[in-house]
Amino acid sequence: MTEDTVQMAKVAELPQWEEFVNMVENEVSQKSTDGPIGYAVYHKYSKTC
Amino acid sequence: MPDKQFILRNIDEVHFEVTAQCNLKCKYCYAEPYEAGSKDNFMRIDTVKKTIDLLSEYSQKQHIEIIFHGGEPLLQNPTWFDECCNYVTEKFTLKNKNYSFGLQTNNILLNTEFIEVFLKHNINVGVSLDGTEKIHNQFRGGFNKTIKNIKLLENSKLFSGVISVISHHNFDKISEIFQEFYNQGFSHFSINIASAVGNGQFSEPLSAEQIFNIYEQDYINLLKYDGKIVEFRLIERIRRHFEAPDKENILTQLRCDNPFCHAGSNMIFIKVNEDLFPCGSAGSSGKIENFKLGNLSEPLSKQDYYTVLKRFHQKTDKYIMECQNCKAKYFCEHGCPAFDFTDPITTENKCIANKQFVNFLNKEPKENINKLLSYKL
Repeated sequence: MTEDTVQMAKVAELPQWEEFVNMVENEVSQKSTDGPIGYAVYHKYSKTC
Repeated sequence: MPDKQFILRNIDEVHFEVTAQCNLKCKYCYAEPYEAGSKDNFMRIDTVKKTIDLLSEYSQKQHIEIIFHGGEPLLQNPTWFDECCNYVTEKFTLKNKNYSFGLQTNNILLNTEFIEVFLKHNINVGVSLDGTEKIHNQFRGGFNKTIKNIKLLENSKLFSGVISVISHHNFDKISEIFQEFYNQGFSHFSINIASAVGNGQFSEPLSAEQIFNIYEQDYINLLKYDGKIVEFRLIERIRRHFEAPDKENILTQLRCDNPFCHAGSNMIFIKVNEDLFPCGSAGSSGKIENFKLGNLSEPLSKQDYYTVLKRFHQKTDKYIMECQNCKAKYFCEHGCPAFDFTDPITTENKCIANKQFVNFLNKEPKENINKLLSYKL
């Protein structure tokens, strides 16, 4: 561990790629938010210009 | 389940490349320069209809977001948008699906004919604006028309807000940007730090120090303006840093700024030639053939689609070994699969700046952080 990293007190972890893939490839419909995202929300996080 | 049905079951957002052509040549644009003289420059209405037919049939989502992107979408005729939106309305109404429309533009070509169509279909419009007239015209151009037409959008209640791209022309002018947007009467905007991709691939990536200064000045101005004008993106990232979302929360909020984004799993990007990509960035810059998921005119293969998509979202050893233990892991956006392929340096510089900024944040008075997180977004 470098000096730029610290042990987080919280148990929360970042998801791993395998977990993401498992969710994306799961037969069942994803649990992602199913409601109007709205352009204003998309717009907030977009990396396009 | 047929391959097509499986692939499209979770799609709730589709971006159409209305045209690859643009009336500007922004120096940092993430898209490759448009080749003058290319054939089939504009999306055919049939392409939109074909996409809507597929989503109408196979998406299990109740609400579908349709976004018109470019190039510059306003190079297309207003009647094209009207016909597309009429079709969406007809098809999705029959299937009892909800839907909404968005469009991203430099706003120079907006006119009352567009407004009429946009009002009819409630198309929300986001505008690209980089700051003051001098800043904006340095890398983009057309400031006065863009501003004048924002007023048209505001009067019609169609204005979604401003994306401000931060690059070499304005990384040290964050205060001026806040002041300008406040003077213009905007309540919010969103900054987007440019990667050296597409048209900007030969420019020098912003350094870690420059990126840290962007964060710091953004933070200082957010406090200074006391919620009267809000830059969304930094606030959301600061919120995530202090609230430390769990894995499930991250995986169910797939967005551009998350460790895993929604490209290809919840959203698709359709190019003029009917090629299908995970997102507009993946389909517009870099070696785009690496990320092509299929073509609307060909059978969609589940195996091919997920082979490409998994590669697109593949994480580096650094993510596995270092990021889990990093103090900035929630503040960090963990790069962009589409851009990092061409420009890994900006993401590395952001990594350094993120750690520095999290150190800065952790020393800030709690009342400042709470004040900032209380702003209405």
